Amino acid sequence: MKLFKYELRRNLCNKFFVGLLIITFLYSYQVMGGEIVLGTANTAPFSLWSFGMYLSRMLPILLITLLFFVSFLYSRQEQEVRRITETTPMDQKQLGLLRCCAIMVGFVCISVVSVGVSLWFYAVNFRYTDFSHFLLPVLLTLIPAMLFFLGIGVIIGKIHPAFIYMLMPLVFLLGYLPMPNALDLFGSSFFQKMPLSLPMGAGGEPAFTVPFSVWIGKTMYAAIGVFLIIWGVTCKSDKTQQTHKVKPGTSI
Amino acid sequence: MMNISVQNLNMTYPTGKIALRDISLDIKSPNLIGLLGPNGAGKSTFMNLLTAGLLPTGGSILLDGEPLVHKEKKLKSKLGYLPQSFGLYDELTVWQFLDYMAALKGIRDNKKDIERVIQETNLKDKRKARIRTLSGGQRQRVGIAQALLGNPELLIFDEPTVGLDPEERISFRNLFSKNAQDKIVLLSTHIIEDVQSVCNRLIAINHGKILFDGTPEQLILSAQGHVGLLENQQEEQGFKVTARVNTANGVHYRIVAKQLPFGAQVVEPTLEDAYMYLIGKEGDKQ
Amino acid sequence: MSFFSYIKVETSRIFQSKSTWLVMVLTLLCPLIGYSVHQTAVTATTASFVLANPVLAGGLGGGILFALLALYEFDRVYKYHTDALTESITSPLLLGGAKLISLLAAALVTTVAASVLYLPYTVYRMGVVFNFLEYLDCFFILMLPSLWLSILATTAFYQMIRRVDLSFVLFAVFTFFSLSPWAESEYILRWINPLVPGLSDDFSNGIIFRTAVYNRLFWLSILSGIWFLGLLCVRNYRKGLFGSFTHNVRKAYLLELSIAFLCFGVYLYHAEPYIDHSPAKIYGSGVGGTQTIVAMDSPYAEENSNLTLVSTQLETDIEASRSRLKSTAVYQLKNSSGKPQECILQINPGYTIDHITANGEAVSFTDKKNDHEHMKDIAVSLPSEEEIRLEVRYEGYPKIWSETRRHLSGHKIEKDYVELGGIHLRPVINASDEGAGVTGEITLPSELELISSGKTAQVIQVNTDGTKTWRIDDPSGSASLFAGNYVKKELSGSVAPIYFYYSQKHENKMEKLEIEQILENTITYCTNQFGPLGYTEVEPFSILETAGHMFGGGSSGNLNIMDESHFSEDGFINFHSGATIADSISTEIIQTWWLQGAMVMDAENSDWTNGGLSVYAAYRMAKEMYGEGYAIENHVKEWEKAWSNMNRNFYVRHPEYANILPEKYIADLQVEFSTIRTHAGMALKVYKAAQLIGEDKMDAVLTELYQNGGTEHPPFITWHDFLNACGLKEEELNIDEAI
Repeated sequence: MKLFKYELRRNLCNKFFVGLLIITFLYSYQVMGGEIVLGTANTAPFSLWSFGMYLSRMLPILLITLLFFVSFLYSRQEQEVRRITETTPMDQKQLGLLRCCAIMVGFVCISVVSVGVSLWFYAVNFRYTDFSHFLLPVLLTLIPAMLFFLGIGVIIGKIHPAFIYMLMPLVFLLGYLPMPNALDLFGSSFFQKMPLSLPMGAGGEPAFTVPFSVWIGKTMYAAIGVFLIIWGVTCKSDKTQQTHKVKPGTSI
Repeated sequence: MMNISVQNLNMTYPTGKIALRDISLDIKSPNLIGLLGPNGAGKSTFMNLLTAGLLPTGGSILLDGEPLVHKEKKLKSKLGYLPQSFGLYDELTVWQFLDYMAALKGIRDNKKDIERVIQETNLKDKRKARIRTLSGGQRQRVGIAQALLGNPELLIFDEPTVGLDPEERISFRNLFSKNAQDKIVLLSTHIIEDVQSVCNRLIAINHGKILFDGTPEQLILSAQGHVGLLENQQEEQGFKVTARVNTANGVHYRIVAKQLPFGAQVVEPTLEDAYMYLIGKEGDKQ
Repeated sequence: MSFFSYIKVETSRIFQSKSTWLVMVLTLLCPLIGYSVHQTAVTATTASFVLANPVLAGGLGGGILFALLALYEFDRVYKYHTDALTESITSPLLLGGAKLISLLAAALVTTVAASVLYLPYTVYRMGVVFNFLEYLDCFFILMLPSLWLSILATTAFYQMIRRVDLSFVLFAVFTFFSLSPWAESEYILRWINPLVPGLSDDFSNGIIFRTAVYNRLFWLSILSGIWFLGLLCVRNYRKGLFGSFTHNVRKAYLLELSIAFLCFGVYLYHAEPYIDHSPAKIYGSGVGGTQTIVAMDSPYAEENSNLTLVSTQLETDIEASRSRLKSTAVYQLKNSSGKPQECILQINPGYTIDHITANGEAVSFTDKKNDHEHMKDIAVSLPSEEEIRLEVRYEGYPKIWSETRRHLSGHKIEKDYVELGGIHLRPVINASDEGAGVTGEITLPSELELISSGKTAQVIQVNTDGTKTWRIDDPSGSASLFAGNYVKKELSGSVAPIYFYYSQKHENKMEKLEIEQILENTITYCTNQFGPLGYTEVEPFSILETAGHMFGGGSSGNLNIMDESHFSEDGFINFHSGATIADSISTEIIQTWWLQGAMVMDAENSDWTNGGLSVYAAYRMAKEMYGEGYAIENHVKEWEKAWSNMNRNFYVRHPEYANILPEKYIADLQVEFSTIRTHAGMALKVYKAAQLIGEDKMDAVLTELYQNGGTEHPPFITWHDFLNACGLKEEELNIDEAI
């Protein structure tokens, strides 16, 4: 618990995270007021479809925050501290998993800001406060993407930390690529097109139904993410192959 | 009590560089061992092997009779290590960082332990300071402090006194010496004075081989008759100059050689002279 | 070592770095994304798809890549602690400047390489419409500055913050701002993705490049100012940000340069010259949907009933190469009040009035600078004489309406294309003007063919300075001008001649797609079905290909305009799955036939316009030409989709929430739904009527109405005229909201 507390503190208690929170807050408001307010696929702005579309629009910035947290795992400072921490009795795999959990908590914190802005927007502008059903789009949209990209980040960071930064622009690109529903990780195609194919239900809104294929797709992404996380954390580097990067002047 | 036995240890890096060749030695507690050698001798490689940071390509290391590879966790639970280059979490305070390291080491009642190491490393005034505000020497003290957490049985310090002022160096020398009363302390350094006054055993390594393993007195003795003083020498022929002093009568040279040149005044060797003689002799052989 | 030596050393070093070559190679690959995924230029022309989109993708991708490279290069000094060495040799400010220039050089080399790499394919695809100068403009105005601005921005941020991660976040925010809806419609704010709605194949893209150059100038100024500010923040003497700034600011010229650049940038923003300042127009409240919005007020000034406009003469010199004109408009007026009068001249905000005289005497006038709906008002004091010869001298160029700034769409003057008319050609006066025509002499470069509404324009003089003077005469008073390198073809199928004007560049494609044949078939159908248009040989009906920037088509007097995307294979493939080029062209012609040949209007039903009737008529022609299946799929189903979509819209279902929307969205939705109601919605009603009475009977009804007009309020054809002709009641034609 103490280690978890310190990992959380290191991730969240810094100006960088505060900056990202502010950016997320502003971007959330801009997405709500600029796009979601029109309603997705002719549904209400506060429908689950529109809320889901909002989350898919927020995902790039949330995932970039996540990738920044992952980049901390492979930063120069972390590599240098690892020279000490590796010699402690703490199981490095456990420590790695603990750090991944801390990253997930960080992601959840920043997602809470994003979701909070939307709920506030709905309450103030539409006097809509029945948020009990909003959990479903959150689980459908945020969790699989978080796990998948956390896993990808952990693996590619091991290859080279710079690849994590190169992944960031791709995250933005993925949000705009048209994809079949089952493979649509961000969900923007799904939330945009699915309601148009459904009949109008009670209140003139199409019911929020998620096809089985979409559930399967999301579950697969989450599972791949979990597998990559575990693999990345538990993968032991071959110590005979190690050539520690040393500062100039360091004796061997 | 701890017993480390190194048997025919070899380490060749994937690049082909042979860092250690056939190293064999025994280390028992209590002991304060100084590890000497020039750059690239194999000291840090040896220390990395002892801390299970590397796996040897040949030979073995036994910890209390059992192979180290199988007892990594046991070793780490008794190890305090300060590498030559390391990092700290700049965003944490000194106390927070030591608390974090204590948690990693699984130390339960860590408040007292942290207070103890803070006291021992003279960091009382800086306990609440963020690490990024510390000077190089203060960061070094934090590194030493974290190694001392948990009162480990095996302490390995790689160039621990770098960045410390002379007063601090003396203070830490005494600290290492005090810890060595019931532990194994392995100290790698270039500063001869650090090992001279406190180490009861010296191991000199060069090109991956042990050149000397004995007491400081034995090393000094081996250089007797091979250290002398010369005046106004024009060229260096067959000897190594360990000191050059400008005097009113000209330049005086303190030299080390297998065979002192004619005119050289034989003097009592210091440990530094003995080390230079040892390295020079080994170089001649090659 | 001098600064230039440092530049040489740094440039040499950077070109030896693997990271640089990796970034350069990846940047060279970025335009490939523009061929498929990243397509922001939507005007359906070959140049948009083959040139604009790849270049824009290259600028965006390359900008991000070079930002990463810049961060890497600037940080490595501190990462590997070489600053302790380098700063003992030279000032970090000098080195920073040298690094920047070397990065800019790498970006330049990359852009040159990209322009060479993509040249063969672009030439092959564009064929005869390929323009080498515009090709270079695309790479060196659209793409290269995106890379440079990225480098400037990132290095400026890094010099201030000295953290790679934060600098990258700031850069990401800055990039996102450019890509965000906030900047979407503002060409001046889009630094990494300049606004290029599309590139014309056949006509000049001057406005695209002018706005892009202005944008680049603005951002280079701002970012240079910020960069010099960042340079002052470069850490020196182991001091922090403020300490270093305080020390470095002693180099006063750096601060002065920074302030100068920033001030210049601010000036450029406020002096933006291409877009007018008309506010968004909202019609009534709510968005309408199935409920008709109250008709809007006319933007034109209230008519001064004491003034009668007898005629308007123009003497206009169009300086096409400078994209502006100088003109004198003379209005013959009758003042029936016997007292001084104030009249309002309304003109495009891009023009300035130099001088106004009435009967030879200068009169006072006030430019109200009150941009509204693409015009501004000039208040003029007229004397009390009965006969007034009002002479207005003015010059300038037409600004783009702020409502259409997203498309950079509007009247224009380019070196090889002119499109002017109404208030964009000359001031319109708020006098009663029944029957007042417009005549004039228009001077243009001699290579341009002038086409005007009204009577056919005639060359009256070939001037020695490479220009020609044309005489125009439009008795209707609207006076629209088009000029370009046109080919003129006479089309058969009608009683009076109908001319088709298209760009010389497009000649081969026109022949290949048999456009002439398609037009003639449509004209024959319309003539046979509805009757001939009431134009003569002197005042002929003409179909004109215009630049793609105008989007779509329309008509102006006896001119029917269709933008070049109608005649572009590439555009068609990308935007019209299912429908044919012929069908699209025919639809445009039929709409014009109804617009020109019949007055369809109902004061009590603003949805009843020629739009719905012509859309239905286009369906009938498509059915005859291509079969029922095709016609239903590409016409009726499209109307049903649009109608259904509109009715499903949340704000149509819940108009009480519409006040939450920002004004811009309300305006956009109002326009969108108005079009759906008048076209798709009304077409569905006519279709339903045709199902009830039979399509042959409906054809006869429409022919009768077209040829003889309405009876309720002649000559207008009202909604009730239509219902009566069909023998149907209004309730029988109600369309289900959920089709």
